[in-house]
Amino acid sequence: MSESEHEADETVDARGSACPGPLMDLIGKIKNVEDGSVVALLTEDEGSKNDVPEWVEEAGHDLLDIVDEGEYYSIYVKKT
Amino acid sequence: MADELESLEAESAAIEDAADALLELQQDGTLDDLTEAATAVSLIADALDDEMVMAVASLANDLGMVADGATQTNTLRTLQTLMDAMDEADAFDDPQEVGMLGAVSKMRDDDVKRGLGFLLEFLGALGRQIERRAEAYDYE
Amino acid sequence: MDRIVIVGGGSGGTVTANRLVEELDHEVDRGDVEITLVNETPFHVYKPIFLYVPFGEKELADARKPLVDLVDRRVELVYDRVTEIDTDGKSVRLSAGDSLDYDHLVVGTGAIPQPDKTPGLGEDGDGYHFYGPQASEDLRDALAEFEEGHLVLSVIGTPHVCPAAPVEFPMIADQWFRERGVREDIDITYTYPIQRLHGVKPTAEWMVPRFEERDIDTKTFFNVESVENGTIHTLEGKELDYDMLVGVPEFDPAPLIQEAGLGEDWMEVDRHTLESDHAEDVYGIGDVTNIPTSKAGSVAHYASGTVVSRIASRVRGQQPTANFHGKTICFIEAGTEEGTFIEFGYGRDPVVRDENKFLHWSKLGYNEAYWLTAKGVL
Repeated sequence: MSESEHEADETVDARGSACPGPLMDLIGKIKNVEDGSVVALLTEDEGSKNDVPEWVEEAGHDLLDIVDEGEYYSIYVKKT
Repeated sequence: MADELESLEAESAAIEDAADALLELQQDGTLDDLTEAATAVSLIADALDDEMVMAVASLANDLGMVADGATQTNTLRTLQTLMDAMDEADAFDDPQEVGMLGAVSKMRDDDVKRGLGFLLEFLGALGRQIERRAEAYDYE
Repeated sequence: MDRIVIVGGGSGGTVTANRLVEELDHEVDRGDVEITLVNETPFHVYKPIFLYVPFGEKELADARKPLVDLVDRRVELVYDRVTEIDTDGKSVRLSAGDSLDYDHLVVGTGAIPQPDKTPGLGEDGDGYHFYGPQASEDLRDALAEFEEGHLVLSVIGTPHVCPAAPVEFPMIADQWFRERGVREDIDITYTYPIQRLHGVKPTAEWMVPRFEERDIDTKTFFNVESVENGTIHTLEGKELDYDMLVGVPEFDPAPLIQEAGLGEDWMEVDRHTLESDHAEDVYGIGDVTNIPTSKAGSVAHYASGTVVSRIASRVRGQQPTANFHGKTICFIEAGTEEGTFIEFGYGRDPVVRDENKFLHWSKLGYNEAYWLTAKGVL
């Protein structure tokens, strides 16, 4: 289990989430937080490693880090 | 290439298993029965339309609601008691007209008293159940 | 005496009330357990019917039944709104002023559509939706007059309930317009916030050819930011003109949840036990919770088994052992003659089957027999 140097203001625990899926869960949270907030998305879905960065770029936010925690990934996104 | 070989192998094993299963069904005659039964499914598919499906399901729903109520222990017991009473009473054998005085004199019978006691209890419960529905059914 | 209070008479609350009575049958009859169900109105609403109202296939009356017809007679029904939950004092306050004490509380207040918070919808917008009774009737009236132009079905709200409905609407609309003979003069576009047609990959893949063959245009990476004068603007900088907009609204839990400290947003519960992360003897069920699966009626139904079992164990002084594994099943109408379904659970990938008329009929049949599920019979 690796330590991340990022502090999340909010966490979205989407582990095991099949529908509508981790990315949709993340978008829902990002809409509700203030600009500048860091949201950590916890996901077991391999696809998230591609989906999330793609959406983050399209939506104009910052992808801070993708941390492999072993059983799942922590993806840190900053709302800009 | 190794991946493709692996999945081909897995597929051919599955095909073999499927063929074995079918062979068994064919040999013991089940496959004939299945294909015949399947034509009944085709019939259903051809004959049914949306309206029929909904009508049957709606009926099943209503019957289900009734059956669910009827099978509660007390209800079931009471229904059975009532049915036995109906059977015993044979209402159509010698139907008499009973006026007020006749009714009062019949009330001296212990069995009638017992039945009347039940009816009065039942009326109270009925009143309570009607009251419970008052707001939803919109009456005072 | 154990007092069990259930807040919310929707799918979760109703089936939980019935199954609790069934499970704690003897205790209830002895007077050792009292179960109360609190709902704002005397009615239980089966919301999936709202999808059929805009097409004239169902009426609003088909969508509701009195709770008293659906719950066991031993469940006390209180028609009122819960204004406050005091998790320390273990009581809930009603708008009429009185309060109800509880030993075990089940919260099933659902997800409430917020058209006024959704760009394009609400009083300021000219868009429609079908996530409420009045709204679906307004949409029906508008659709009946719609004979040409560009119809856009836009998934705006995240999260939203029933992930299948936005997929079904354009497909049903396509079929319906064809039957009216006006499909040639109408363009239908479906929009979705992420890079594919649906959050669930198998569903997105299932949709692609089917939308294509129905001539339904699609726009992905489409996060609606504002809607003005017949044009949708997205945060990706895209624009789309429409003649009629049907939007999936934003959804929120009742403010009650945050006020009671049960969650910052949705009600925070353990995904397996459904017990609140923040209070003792409080359970969440249905759309109000934050569990990692869709907001769908089937989830509430399957979860109720776990909630009922755990409360019953506590009532009997036993260690609760039941766990919920996220079982979810969703029908997808593929038009007016075909349907399919997906089923999955926590960590299990959904599989979409090819649609066929038996599955379509199963869904139609289920709509009629849903009330048996609410009663706990099915």
